[in-house]
Amino acid sequence: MLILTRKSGERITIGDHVRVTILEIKGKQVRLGIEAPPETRVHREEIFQKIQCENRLAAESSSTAMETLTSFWGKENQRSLKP
Amino acid sequence: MKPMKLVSEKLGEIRYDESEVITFPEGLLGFPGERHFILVDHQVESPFKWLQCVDDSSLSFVVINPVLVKPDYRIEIDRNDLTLLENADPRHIAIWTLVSLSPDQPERSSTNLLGPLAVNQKTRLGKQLVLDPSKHDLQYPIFHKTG
Repeated sequence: MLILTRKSGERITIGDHVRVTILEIKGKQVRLGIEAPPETRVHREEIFQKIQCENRLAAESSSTAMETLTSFWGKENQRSLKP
Repeated sequence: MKPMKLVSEKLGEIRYDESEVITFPEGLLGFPGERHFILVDHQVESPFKWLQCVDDSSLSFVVINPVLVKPDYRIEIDRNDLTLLENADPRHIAIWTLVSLSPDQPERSSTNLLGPLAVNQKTRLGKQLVLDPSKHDLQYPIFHKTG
């Protein structure tokens, strides 16, 4: 890991197209400004990881489970249609 | 028109036309190399569909139109994402959300409203968006207990 120390207002460049600016430091929080091309993903890491994890879970769906789910949906919809 | 065929591990042989292929230039989160998918119906009456990967026949997801699960689901697509989707008119963008199935407990199935799939229906380009976690659930239950 490359470790740099920056002050408010200072910047870091990453590659040719990414620039990070330290906008504000307030107590325990750092406010960062990130300039990057649209195709570069920039995300809060924990959210990115949560979605990755959920995607992998979703990839485990089997055709049997799909059958069960579809029947269940059908039953639930019939139930909600009853007066 | 170019008829194609693939053999899906979960779904068996699927015939489709090349024009049906949806391209995700960045893949999906956790699956960056898987870029080409087709949408396959499960049953005519079922709102659930399969998103079958063309590059990897063992990869398939269940998806649903999220409005069927949460009628007031509204998302904002930021400028970067809109650029990647080739500045589509929002009316041309279809939104699908991935479904996480609980094999023996269908009532516990959920859908990912935090990372929906946006597809430009004209260019067949897609992207998995990352929305605001304070506004959207990662595991939104498909079925609600009533009473």
